Amino acid sequence: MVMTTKEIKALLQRYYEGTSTEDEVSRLGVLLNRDDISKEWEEERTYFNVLNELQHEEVSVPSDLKQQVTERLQHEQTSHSGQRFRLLYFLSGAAAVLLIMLSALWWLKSGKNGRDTFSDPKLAYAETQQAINLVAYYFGEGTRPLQKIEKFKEAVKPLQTLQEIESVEKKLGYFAKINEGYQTAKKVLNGK
Amino acid sequence: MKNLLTSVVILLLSVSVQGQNKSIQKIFDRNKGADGFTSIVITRHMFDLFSELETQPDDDYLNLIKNLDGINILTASEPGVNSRKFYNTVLKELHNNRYQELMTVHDTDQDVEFFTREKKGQVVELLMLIGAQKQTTLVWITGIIDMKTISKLADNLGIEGMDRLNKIDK
Repeated sequence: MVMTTKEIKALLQRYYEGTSTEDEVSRLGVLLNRDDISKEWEEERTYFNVLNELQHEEVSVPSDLKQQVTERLQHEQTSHSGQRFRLLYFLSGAAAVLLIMLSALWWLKSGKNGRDTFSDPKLAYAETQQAINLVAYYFGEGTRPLQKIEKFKEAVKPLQTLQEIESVEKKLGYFAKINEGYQTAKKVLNGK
Repeated sequence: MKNLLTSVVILLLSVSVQGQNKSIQKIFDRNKGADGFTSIVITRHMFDLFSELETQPDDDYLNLIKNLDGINILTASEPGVNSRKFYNTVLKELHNNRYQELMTVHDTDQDVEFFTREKKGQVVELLMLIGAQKQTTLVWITGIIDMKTISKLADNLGIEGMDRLNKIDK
């Protein structure tokens, strides 16, 4: 039995190395498939039998295998390069947008901080006040005629009240006439 | 990809909005430091420092200034530059660039034109162009401009305003 174990080990090593002769392979098959084989060889026996069966199976090679493989490789290559291009395109676009945004930010910021004529806030305030006064002065010049119209409207307002009083008086006059007529009619009726 | 395109469109739109006053900025940039021109630029950065001044500025001015982005003044004086030509160039630019003409004041020896640009019902740019015989001044105020406060200041100025104006001209 010890001899068998040693033989199986040696034959298996040559089998897995692919250096076994046909006789050695068939001898290994016989040894592994013996009924009294130790359990430790069960796994090896299964592998051997499966491999042995596969070895005897005929494998048909498609005639256009080369073409199929070439096409598949080309497809894989195109698909990968397409993905790579899209990723590169997206990244370069994002980088461009970021660059433009940073430039715009810098431009706006530098516009606010770096162009001041005055470094002394006192002088800057005096100039700002003068500029606002200049604008306000001419704005006032332009709107003054409108202010006159507004003042005229204000002045005319009391006259409107007088007109309203006059209108009320007029209405009261009608009532007085109606009352007069009513009194006359009453007298006439009482006289009867 | 859609997000990227949206970002680009938003960016282009914001740039185009900025671009609306680019022509005026160009006038300032082109003539800044040139012979016959005097320019003054006061930015928001400086306005922020006004509240820290020892002598506190008037409330009306501070309230007006706090919403401003900047004040730019450009004066073209003869003989260094043809004042009238510059006046006409600026006037043409203002008419071509979506600015609304607010009013024109014809004084004895000068014309004053006011232009504005509004955004969401607020005046965001105010330009005043003064064309005198030998001098043209362009005042460009940006930010949110409270015209009521300007009107109030105008009422307060009166004759005093004339004195201050004379000082500026000198």
